[in-house]
Amino acid sequence: MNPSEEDIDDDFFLDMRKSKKAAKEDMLDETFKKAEMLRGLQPKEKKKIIKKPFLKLGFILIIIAAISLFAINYLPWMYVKFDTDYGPIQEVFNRDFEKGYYYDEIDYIFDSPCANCSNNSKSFIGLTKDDFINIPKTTSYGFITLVLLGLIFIIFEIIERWRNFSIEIAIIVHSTFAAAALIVSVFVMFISIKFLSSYLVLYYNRPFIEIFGVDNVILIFPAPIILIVISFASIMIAIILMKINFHEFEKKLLSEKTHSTLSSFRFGSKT
Amino acid sequence: MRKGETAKKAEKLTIYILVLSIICLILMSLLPWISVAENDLVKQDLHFNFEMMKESGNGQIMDLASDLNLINISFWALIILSLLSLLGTTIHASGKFSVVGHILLLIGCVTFVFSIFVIILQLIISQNIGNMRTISASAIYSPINYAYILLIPSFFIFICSALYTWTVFEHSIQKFKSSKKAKDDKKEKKTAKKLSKKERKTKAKEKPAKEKPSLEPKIDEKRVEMEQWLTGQVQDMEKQAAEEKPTGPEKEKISQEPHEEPKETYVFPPEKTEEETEETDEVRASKSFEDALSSAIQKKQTEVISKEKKTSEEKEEISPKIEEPAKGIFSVRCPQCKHIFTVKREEGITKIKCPECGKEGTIK
Repeated sequence: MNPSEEDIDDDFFLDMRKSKKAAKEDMLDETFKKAEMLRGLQPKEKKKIIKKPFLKLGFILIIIAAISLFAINYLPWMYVKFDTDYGPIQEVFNRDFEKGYYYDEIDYIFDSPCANCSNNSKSFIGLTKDDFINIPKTTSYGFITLVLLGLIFIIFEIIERWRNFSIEIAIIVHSTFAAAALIVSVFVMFISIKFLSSYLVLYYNRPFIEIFGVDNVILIFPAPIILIVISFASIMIAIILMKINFHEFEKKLLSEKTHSTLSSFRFGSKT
Repeated sequence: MRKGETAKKAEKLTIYILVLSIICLILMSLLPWISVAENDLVKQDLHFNFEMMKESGNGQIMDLASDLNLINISFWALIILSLLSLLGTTIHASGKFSVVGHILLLIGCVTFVFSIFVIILQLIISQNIGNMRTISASAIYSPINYAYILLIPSFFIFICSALYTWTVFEHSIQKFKSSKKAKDDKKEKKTAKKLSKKERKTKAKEKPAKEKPSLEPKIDEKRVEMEQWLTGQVQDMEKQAAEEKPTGPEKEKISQEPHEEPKETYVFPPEKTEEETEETDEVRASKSFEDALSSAIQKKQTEVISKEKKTSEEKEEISPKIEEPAKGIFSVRCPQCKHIFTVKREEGITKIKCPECGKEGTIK
């Protein structure tokens, strides 16, 4: 055998070894990629843990009720400004329509002094002086019920921590309290909306008031407007909380379904 | 429709009904409803809202106010019912107290009745206002009345409540049908079980006492195998014994005897074999041979009996589980040893191990 032939043979064997090595590396790469693919295709299922609801509804209710009770007792219920023959008059009235200096003049806004007029209506703006006495009482009762609801819910929360109720029961009780708070809030809003309505009626019935010498009447009801805003906010909070609670259960239902459909078992793997 | 979808749809519709009812209630006390022509000090229309109407001394206005009061009550009823149905959807979706949830969902269907009632009352009021001479509907502009504004959300409430009632009734009918089917299936299964039991009993009575009920074919097969093995062993031992102690006349005797004899002799029960061994030959009667043979037979017998007991016990354990699988319990067949065993499935991946061969696996 010539040396050139020997060289050729060595080269051939070297090439063979190299090609074998390359094939082995390729195979290893492929298997590695496959393993990665499998890992990517079959990710570990994350356990969907249902968290307990935002159990601070009691505190929210108490805070809302406290703000409202403060507004009822300390904010003015009516600010009135009107022109008379003697000049402009402005007066602020708190709850229970406490007697101000211009008490009698303001009386014409609420009650018609005409004795011979038709008996269609005694009031021209849909409000009476009694409303300023009764509505603060009823609204404060409403907010006291909210406080009670909040306290009861806090007690439930404490018992829940002690006895550790199931998530379902906690959420259902949470929703029930939210519903009760919603009803109370709607009631408060419905009562307080009278004051807003009086603006609209005053716009139409202004001539009936002006004829008794009360011109350019401007009425503002700070406390009722705040009560309307607060009750609206509490209605929205209650609806949102109920919706969140429902969606928690919905998630659970969906996760249960997917879990049941994906269930499979196999031997051989120790994972 | 699935449970989740129904609950979701019902929840959406109830929220719409609730919000629209609250809006209607607010609009009712906010908007002016009627206007009356005054001819006393001011010759102009006096506009009335709900509160003014309630306190009016006019008889016609009072009648209208009472109708409006009914609408007001209806809206309150709609709010409460929609809230109840919303709670019902939540309870229904929770899976707990499903009966209460379903009842609340069905109570929510009453919103459909109230929505119709509200629309009818509003139409009656607008008709009554139209028939009155002195009273007219309070209008933003001449054709558009405030009273009509309330009709728009009430109509939407009607649509939502109709859809809600449809979905809930559809779901409840499906549920009722499925429960009925399940009941029928259960009844059929029970009757089939009873019949099969009776048939088995009658068959068992009919079969002769000699024939063994081949409930365990595997055991029978094993028994046959063991018998064959025993006969083989006996033959070997005979040969060995013959090789160890052969004498002239004895050899002749052995050669004269047929080779098939031991096959017949070493069959269960062991007493028979002993008798027959005594009969065969003096060589076989040697103490060592007898002891070895009896011990081998006894060993095999005890093994067979223990295996029989084991298999019967396992069968007893597995059979009720296979018939009535509990929730989360699976019966799994091992791919290695074909052994069937039960596994309680937990959340996520659960590891399983074959109790027979120890092969490991997972359940997802």
